[in-house]
Amino acid sequence: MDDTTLLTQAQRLDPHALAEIHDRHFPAIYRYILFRVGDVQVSEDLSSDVFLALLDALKGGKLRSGNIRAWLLATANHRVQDEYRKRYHRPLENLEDHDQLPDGHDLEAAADHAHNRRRVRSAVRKLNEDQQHVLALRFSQELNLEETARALGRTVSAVKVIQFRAVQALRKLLLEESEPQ
Amino acid sequence: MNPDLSAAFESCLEKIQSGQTLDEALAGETHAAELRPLLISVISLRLLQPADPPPATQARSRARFLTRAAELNSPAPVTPWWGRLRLATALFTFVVMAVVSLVVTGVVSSQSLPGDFLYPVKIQVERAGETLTAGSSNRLVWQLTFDQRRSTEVSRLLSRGRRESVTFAGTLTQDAAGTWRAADMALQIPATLQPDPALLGAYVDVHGFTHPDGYIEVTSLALRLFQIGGVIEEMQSNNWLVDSIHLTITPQTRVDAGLKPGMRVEVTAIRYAPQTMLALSIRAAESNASQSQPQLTPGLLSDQTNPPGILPTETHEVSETAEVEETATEMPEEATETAPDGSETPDAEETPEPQKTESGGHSSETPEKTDHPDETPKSDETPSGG
Repeated sequence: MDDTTLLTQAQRLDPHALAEIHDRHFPAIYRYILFRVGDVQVSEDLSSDVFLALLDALKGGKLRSGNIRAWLLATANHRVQDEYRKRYHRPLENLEDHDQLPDGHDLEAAADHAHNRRRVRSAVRKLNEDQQHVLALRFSQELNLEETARALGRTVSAVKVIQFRAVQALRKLLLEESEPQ
Repeated sequence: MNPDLSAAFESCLEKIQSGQTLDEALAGETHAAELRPLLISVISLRLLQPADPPPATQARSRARFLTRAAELNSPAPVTPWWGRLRLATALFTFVVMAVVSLVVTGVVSSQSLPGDFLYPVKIQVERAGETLTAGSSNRLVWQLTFDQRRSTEVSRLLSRGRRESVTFAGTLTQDAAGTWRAADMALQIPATLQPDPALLGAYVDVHGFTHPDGYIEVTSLALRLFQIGGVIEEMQSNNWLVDSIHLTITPQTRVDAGLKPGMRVEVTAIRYAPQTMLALSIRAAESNASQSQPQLTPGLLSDQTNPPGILPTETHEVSETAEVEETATEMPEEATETAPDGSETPDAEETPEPQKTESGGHSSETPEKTDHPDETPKSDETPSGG
């Protein structure tokens, strides 16, 4: 069933259409959010919230046409930003503490892996919102430039610029983090 | 941003995403040295590569999603028709009772007389209407109407032989037998309150008791002072128009210097004879105050004493009251000398009812301006007419 047909049925809150939308898009939304926040529990909660927001949008007639996936990803981005703001005002926990150590017997290698991941995530979080959003779309979803542009509602050229500057900034931040304190 | 570098970066990125190694992707690139660290940064993002959600996570979200959808899809709880009917009936009954009680109270209170249970309701309704009225001339009409009602009420009390405390206003006259009358009702005035003959024709507030024998036992008699605020519309030598109210100016009138048409002024006046509004003072309103300085008319500073038994009505404007007390007691005598028609003290027979107005014309045809309703005299001896 194509997105347009699915959306038409979903607007009537048809349970089959809604289930189809959830099954089709939940993994991508979850991965996007996990890429951004790095916490599985928070990712699960925020992903679920994104789909509840979709119901409200359908019920309120705010999603009459268009790309469901793009709408979900944009909403996921907003939820992540909200979560960051919440944590900024109420820094009760450190996301890095929830990093899962990979399975395996080489604890030293696992520790290195976790350390590097924290370093990269820390650098990514220092990028601006647009840059984080583009990197998450490109590298958590494997979206190509056209898909990313559509999800962002921007041109391919604009996405290229954002992406290139994001990688340059990331490189600089990683180098700074590698330097001895 | 270097477009060549950007294009080369994008090209290498696609190769890496398609499975090539870094060295394979950079092979033959002229910008390899610049691209390598950037591509390493991109490759480092693989550390953040998220895993797919566990099936249990997806199942929980799905269940929550569909449950919420079912809630949204279910119709809102409907009140059965008999329940709605009962509610509608109750509401209708309440509204009808409220309207009926208001109407009945209004009608009954409008017929009430001083001393009746609903009389205070009638007064409050009238005051509310006056409060909502804008403009000095309009408020004057309201007050005139209320004064007419008060005198009618007193007349009805007298005709029924009831004894009640009353307050009303009217033109002071004297009949052939020498009996003082206000609003054409006989007054019995104690010797200590006897008005000066010069007050004949003045508009006064009377407080007292109705007597079964058909007269009023006066306990206080006060000259009604009218506070008029408005814009000067016309200025002739002895006739000004302020807020559509014609004012007679006498040599004794205190007038601020520098007043001109268009300026806002505050006027204290008395009504003398039904067709004359005599200005005691005309002052620039606060907004104009800085433009003019007060100018006192020497004639008002004479040593005349208050006529016995008559007090000017107090106002809430203390400074204004102090001034008025000095001048108001003098004005009746002065007014008789400067009546617009050139006559001396008006005869009682020539004095029409104070509430009667005539359309068009000059100040004499303009309804009186009265104090604001909240400007009730502070003294027990000088209740207002409202």
